[in-house]
Amino acid sequence: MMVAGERLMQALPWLLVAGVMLASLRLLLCVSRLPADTRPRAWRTGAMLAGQCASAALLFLLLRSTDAGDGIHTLHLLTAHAPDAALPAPRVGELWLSLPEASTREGSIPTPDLATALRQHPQVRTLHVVGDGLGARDRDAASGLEIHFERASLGPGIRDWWAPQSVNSAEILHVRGSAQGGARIELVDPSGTPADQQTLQGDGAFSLKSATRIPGLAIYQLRLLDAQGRRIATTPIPAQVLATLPSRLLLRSSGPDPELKFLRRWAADNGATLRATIDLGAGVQTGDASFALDTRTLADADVLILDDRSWNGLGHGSRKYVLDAVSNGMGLMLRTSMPLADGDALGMRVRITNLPTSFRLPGVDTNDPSLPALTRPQLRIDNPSGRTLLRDDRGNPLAAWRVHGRGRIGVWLPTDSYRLALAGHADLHARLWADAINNIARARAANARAMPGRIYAGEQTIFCGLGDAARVLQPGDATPVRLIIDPSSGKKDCAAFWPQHEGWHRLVDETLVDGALVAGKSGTAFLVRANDADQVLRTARTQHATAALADHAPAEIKPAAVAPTFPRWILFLLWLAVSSSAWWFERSRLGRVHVLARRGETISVP
Amino acid sequence: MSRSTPSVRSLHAFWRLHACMRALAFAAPWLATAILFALREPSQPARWAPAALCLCVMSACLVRTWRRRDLPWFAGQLNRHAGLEDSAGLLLGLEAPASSLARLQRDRLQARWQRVDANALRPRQRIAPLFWNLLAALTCAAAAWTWQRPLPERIRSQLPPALAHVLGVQSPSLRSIQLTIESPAYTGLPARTVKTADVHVPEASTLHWALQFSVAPERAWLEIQDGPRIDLRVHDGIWHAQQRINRSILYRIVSEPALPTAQRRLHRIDMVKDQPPQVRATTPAQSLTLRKPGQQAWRLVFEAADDHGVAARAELRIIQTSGEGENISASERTLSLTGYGQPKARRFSHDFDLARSGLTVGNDVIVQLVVRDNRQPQPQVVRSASVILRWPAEDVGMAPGLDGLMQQVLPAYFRSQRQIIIDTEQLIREQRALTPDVVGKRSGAIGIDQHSLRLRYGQFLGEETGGGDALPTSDADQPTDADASPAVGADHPAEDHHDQGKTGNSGVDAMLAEVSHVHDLPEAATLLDPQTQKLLRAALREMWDSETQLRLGQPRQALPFAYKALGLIKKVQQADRIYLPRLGSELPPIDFNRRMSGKRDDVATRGNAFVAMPEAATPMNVLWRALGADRDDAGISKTSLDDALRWLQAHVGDERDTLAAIAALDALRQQPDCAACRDELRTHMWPLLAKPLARPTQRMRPTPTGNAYLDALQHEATP
Repeated sequence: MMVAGERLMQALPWLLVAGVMLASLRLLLCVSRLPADTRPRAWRTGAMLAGQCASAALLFLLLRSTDAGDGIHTLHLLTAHAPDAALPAPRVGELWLSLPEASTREGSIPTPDLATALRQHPQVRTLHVVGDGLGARDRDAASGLEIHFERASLGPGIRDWWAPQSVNSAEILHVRGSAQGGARIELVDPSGTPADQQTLQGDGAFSLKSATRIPGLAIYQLRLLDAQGRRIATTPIPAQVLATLPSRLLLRSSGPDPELKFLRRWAADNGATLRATIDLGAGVQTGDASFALDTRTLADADVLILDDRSWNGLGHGSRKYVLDAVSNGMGLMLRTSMPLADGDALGMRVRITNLPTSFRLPGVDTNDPSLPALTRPQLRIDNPSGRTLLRDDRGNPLAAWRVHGRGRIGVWLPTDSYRLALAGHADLHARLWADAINNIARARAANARAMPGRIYAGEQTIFCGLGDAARVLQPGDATPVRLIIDPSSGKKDCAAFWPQHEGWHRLVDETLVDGALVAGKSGTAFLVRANDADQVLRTARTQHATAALADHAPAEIKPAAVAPTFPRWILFLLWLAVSSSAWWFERSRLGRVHVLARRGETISVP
Repeated sequence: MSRSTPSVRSLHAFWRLHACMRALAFAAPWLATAILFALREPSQPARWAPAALCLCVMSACLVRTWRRRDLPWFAGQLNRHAGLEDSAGLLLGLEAPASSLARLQRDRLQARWQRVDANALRPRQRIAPLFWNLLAALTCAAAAWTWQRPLPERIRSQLPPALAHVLGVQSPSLRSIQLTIESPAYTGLPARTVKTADVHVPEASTLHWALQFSVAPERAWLEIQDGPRIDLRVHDGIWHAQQRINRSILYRIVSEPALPTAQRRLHRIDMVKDQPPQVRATTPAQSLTLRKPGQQAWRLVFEAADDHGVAARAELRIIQTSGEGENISASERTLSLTGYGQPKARRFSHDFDLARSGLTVGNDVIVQLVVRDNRQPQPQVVRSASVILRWPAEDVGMAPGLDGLMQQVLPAYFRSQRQIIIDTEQLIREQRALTPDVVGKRSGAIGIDQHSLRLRYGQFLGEETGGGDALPTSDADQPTDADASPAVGADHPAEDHHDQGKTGNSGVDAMLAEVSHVHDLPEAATLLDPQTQKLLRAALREMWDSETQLRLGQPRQALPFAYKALGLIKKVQQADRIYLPRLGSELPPIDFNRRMSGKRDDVATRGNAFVAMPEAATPMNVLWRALGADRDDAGISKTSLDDALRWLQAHVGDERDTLAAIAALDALRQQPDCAACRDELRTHMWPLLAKPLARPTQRMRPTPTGNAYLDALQHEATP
């Protein structure tokens, strides 16, 4: 509505000009068609034209003009959670207003939104915002004004949290964020049992994790507790656990090793195909059928695992094939216990150093006697352009990787991680190797559709990259809601959606070819949160946005809208007088030619 | 139709009777209805009131009808017939014929009467009122019969609920539940009554259910999952049942007609198992105590706790060792102790008199307290950990806290080695007086002792002590022990192992070969830690040398070796512990023909394809996915529910809470479209889901921009 009104105002001069032109043209045509003797006098025609123009001009002025300024230059705005203190009497040129979120109180005038208030008080140049700040509705209107923000203190609660949109099955779900006002925060698994907990420090930051289980949708809860264990705030954390594609691993070793046995067992039992060739010397091999390190084989592999002797024993050509394959996306994992050849090509070097050979894994219970100490070769990894994957309990890198083209090269020092599996910690063994392999594996998993982070019932949300047939299935009876793509979003193909109910919704987009894994027939699920969820988080966001708006106020506040010269009522009376006199003049006989005389003549002729 | 017209009087009587019958026909259904109503609970007099009222009204009606159908009425009725010319009164003799004309008229009528059709005279009897009356009475009867009484399920289910409510044909619903829990007498817990159907009860409790239904069902029973069906018996409107609880159960209250859906859910009774008593020794605090010099008594205090009480009497089991070295015997006796303190935490104490017990140096007293709880009928018996008092031997310095782990080994052998030295020194002293032959013989005999001692020590290093089995893969032509005796040769002097008495000075070569040829079993060698192993090996080496010299008849040269061996063995003895050999590691035998020879005949590339053993999808996993919000409603098939239920029932009793999942599954089955039930089931299923291991995955595919960036990086790195 407002947009249409503004457009109309923009087109108003042209409309008026066009109207005046048309009317004038008509008048002139009519006059010219009359027989010359019955034509009115020229001054009459001129006066009529002038009257039209004057009327149109006055109408334009009337519509364009605003009220005379009321002299209000500062608005004190009460927003949600504004302190309950009595309002001081406003000074001259100031006014106390309360937005709908604030409780109305004596001395403040309720206003539906800021834009309305600014239209009513066009001379306002300064806003004094008290409380939680301006919501998205009012922020646009407030831009360009000088803002003083007096924020209300945040109550206890979860100030912010972040969790990945989706996580692979059996991977770790990390939830990070910050809270205030509580003593302890818990991550509660879907059965209602705390999976992880943390005592909050001064800054309230937390990082919690829980291992996911089988693929499917699950809702974890983040629970903030006070020192007595009472619940302060709870917020649901949706976890979309995805099934993984089977990996294709290649392994070459120049000698048998219990490490290989347990690695192969892990890979085979967990949905990967691992082709292992283990050299027994003198051309004798064991394991699977041997494979050649050629372009075709390597193009089909996700990770190639070599040991130091295999790598050092490769010919120049084979190494080039391998590194080319890495450039094209393959992962190369080098298990090493001695310096590697061709460090320049690898981009990282392994050097002999003097370090304790025994280590423990970091981050595990050191008091657990069943956790064996592992051994490492006395090597250090020089990896200036890469990242460390695993460190021992003293902080020395045990595994590292770097980017090589589209793929990654990793170096792995531990030599007897199988002891973990032997000691009954197969989960740790699997986690160790999964972290290593998955960090360097070929990037071929489908990308999940990017979804808005948090969606609340009753708030608009926007989905992008939609096809023509995109629709949202609502929870319960799966009533579909068509999404209509906003043409103004251009190539992004975005559409807005206003969820009505909380719970799991599904975005189904049959034309989506990419991301078939996630958004197949079942679509992308997303959780719509309750309208009153995450109060502290949303308040913090509002405060942050308002503060940012206040910080980015223009250095020079543009002067208030042009003060009109006339009050509108005078303009209106003027326009009425001109229009009615033009109307009267058109009907009057003034300036018409001898009407009666000619009539008399006509009568007298026969 | 030559039926004669009945007489006027009889016709009147007939009509009168007929009218009464009609009145009866109107009243009878109502009377029947009232009786039906009364018969629902015949014992209640108030119920008979409507019947009595009906009877009274009916009688009054009958009397009234009879009275009103008198002769004047009959005359009036007859007069409606034109043929009787308004003179029925004359005919009936109601009025005396006052004139001859009247008499004439009467005669005429009497004459005409014979020709009158009586049926035509009869007023028309309408059937419809009777019918409607009957219908109304039947309706009332039906209402009376079904009032607050369940209709047969088949009819009830067809009725719209509003109508059923108006008719009062409600289905029964549970109005109150009262569960009385009688714990076993030994627990000492009072009987308690709860108003819920789900309870925690002690083991072997007896439960009494007392249920009240809003409407009495025809039958009702308790349906125990995987268990018997317990019929509820009604008494004074309250339905009773009783059951002894020996395991945690899920049960359902079932009635015919069925209860409302919400009340058909599974209820849960958790049995709290009687915990076995906990016993610990408070004095002494540690399990091994060393006797202090001069200590005469040993105070023992045990503390026993139980959830329902510990028996007042307990047994103290005392095992005492006596003897030295290898000659150690143990005697066992028991004492009965009486505890003091509260039944739930009793204390038992005993002062052990060391002087009277006859404990000697180097021996142990091992004490255990055997405690029973009050459980009926079978008490639970628990033994405390052993508490040991040791009178330490002076020469063996043992670290405390290693009891159980440590075995005092080699005491006899130690003395034996010393004995060899003593014998050797004796021989050296007497050497001058003896002939060289005798010296050689005696020296050889001592050498044999040394040999057998060496072999016994050698066991600890995995030495072969007897003839080993022939290896299957190699040495196929090696003679077996039986064959070996004629051809002793230099290789395996097998007879030395078996028949040590006859060697004497014979076969020095054989002896040398033997002392230089030891078959170590690497696996058995782990019996000792490397340090001890080294010491023992050194001791054996010294023994070999000593034995060699003794057998050569040179005791003087043997003596230094024997002394060295003694010193080393003493160190071995003082070294800390001995490990038992590990089991389960049976390496294939080594083919000695090929060992270290470099031969690789018949060795070829061998595939050992791994057979993947992926975790099978359990019904739980399938159902979890089917219940997910990303699945269509049609996703939950009956088979998946059945499979999951079977799986759950097979896993009842492990530490996870399968009963809750079964109850939630049952609730979902009753209301398949209940979203809250799904969430509830998922909540209980989560702990039952498999925890998969971390698995190999791939990274997310980069965007085209990302790829371009990586390519540019690579290009930059390799200019």
